[in-house]
Amino acid sequence: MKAQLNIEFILAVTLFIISILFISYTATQEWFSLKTEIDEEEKKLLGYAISQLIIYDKGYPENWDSLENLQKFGLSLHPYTLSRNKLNAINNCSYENYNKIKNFLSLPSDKDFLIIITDQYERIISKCGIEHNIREIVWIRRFAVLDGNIVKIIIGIY
Amino acid sequence: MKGFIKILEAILSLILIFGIIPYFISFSKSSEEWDNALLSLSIRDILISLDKSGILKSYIISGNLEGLKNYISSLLPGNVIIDISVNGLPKNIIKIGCNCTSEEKIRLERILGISFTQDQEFSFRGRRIKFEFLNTNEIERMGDADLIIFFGCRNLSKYLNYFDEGKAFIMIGNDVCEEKIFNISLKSGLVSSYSKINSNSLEPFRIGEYFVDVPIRIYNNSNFWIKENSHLLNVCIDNKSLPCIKIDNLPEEYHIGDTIIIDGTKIKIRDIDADYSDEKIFSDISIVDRNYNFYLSNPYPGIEANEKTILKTTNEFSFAQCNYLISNYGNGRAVWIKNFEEERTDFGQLLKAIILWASEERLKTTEKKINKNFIKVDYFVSGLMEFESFVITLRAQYVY
Repeated sequence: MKAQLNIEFILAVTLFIISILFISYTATQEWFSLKTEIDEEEKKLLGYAISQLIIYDKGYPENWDSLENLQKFGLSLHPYTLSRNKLNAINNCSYENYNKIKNFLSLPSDKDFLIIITDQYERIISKCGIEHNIREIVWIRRFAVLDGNIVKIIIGIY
Repeated sequence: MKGFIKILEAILSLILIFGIIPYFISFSKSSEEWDNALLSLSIRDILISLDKSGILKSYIISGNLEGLKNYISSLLPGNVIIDISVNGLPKNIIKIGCNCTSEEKIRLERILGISFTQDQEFSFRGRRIKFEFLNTNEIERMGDADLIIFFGCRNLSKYLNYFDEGKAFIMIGNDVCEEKIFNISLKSGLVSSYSKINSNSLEPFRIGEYFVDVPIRIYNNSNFWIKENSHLLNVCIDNKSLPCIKIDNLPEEYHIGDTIIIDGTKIKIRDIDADYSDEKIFSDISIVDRNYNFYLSNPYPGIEANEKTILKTTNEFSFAQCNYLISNYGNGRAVWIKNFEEERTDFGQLLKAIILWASEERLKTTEKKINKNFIKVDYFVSGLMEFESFVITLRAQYVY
């Protein structure tokens, strides 16, 4: 009767298998969760970097008013003061102009952005970017001055 | 029995595995603080933008802190609550209680350059400040006062609660009393008649900053004082019909904005009213010399100088002392200043500066829901020529 398995052994093996399955499941879940978090943090960092550029950088040439002659991206007149001409220039940007700005921002090809400038009552002053319905979006909100009024700078990274 | 031990071993190993795994999982997640960091960034952006657009200044000048709070709240997400406090600004209206006789009250008004009701208001760093006197001379009934002034000694032991409420006391006199409150102690020795504003300590330094920006009103054909000398001021109208002043009947004419040097001291002309249709013809002037020498013909008794001395002689005696953080709650201010003649406009200018300092308040909005998990942003508005410096502190918290 040596080949027969006793009940204690079966119970011990079952418990062991359950625990292995549980650990594998938890680890897989955590891995996906961490990957999502890393992706989200990366997007937040990108969004923050773009917001800094918008608020502090004038771009080049400093008084650019058309994407045609733009060599470096930036939307400000002075730190925390945005330029109306530059906002008009990027408003309702075409795919071509979107890609041009994306290239200036050195954004990875698998990422997209959406820049929306609104007044304090959420009325859109300028908007440029691509909207996705499926991909996860991360928003960064900043504030600056335009023509003596406070405006919201909303940056979405997909 | 052997199998039972195997089961026990398996259970034990399970407990060990389930105990160790969460430790490693939580370790990898412990560094996420984005929400608070982004909220803090948004608040700083808003304060910088409000400052740059001039909106912050307009709210501060009007003292409308609730309006400022509502404005900022409207820009932040709906689940964020905030409160605001502003430090380092005198009030727009300073309520003064004079615990004195009617003669002493007239004397105080003369010291402050107040001859008519309109003189209670003056321009200071782009704002209008008003000294409003209470209609009572009893300390018990001065609950509304921002500060209480008296000449000579008073027993203040019954009024220590006023310090808790943030009020200030100013004592003008040569007698030594309430030494602890006013931070004064006698010192023997020869006392110099000249003293300067102490720049080595922060609060006296700040009084000195107020001193050079506060105006004193001199009516037409009246005297103002520089050190031990008085000078006659006359208001005139020049050949271009511009208001001007003349000093000591000399032919030179000076206009609004001019800085002149008299007895080695810089004087700035801040305003001239040359409207002869009424009898209120005057000029607002300021001594703008930070190292101005205050002269007292009778500098005795000698009071020991320390880190809270406002006016310090070269041989370490004091003509004026301040004290602060008097109450257990860190509120309350007190100032003692030596007796001086009421016509001494230089001391009058200093007393105005002291009143501004003593009445400085901590403007604050309250948000009861904020608990200990808030984030705090301090924003320093540096002083400009036309406005004063202050600190705005904003606390914010997500409610859900």
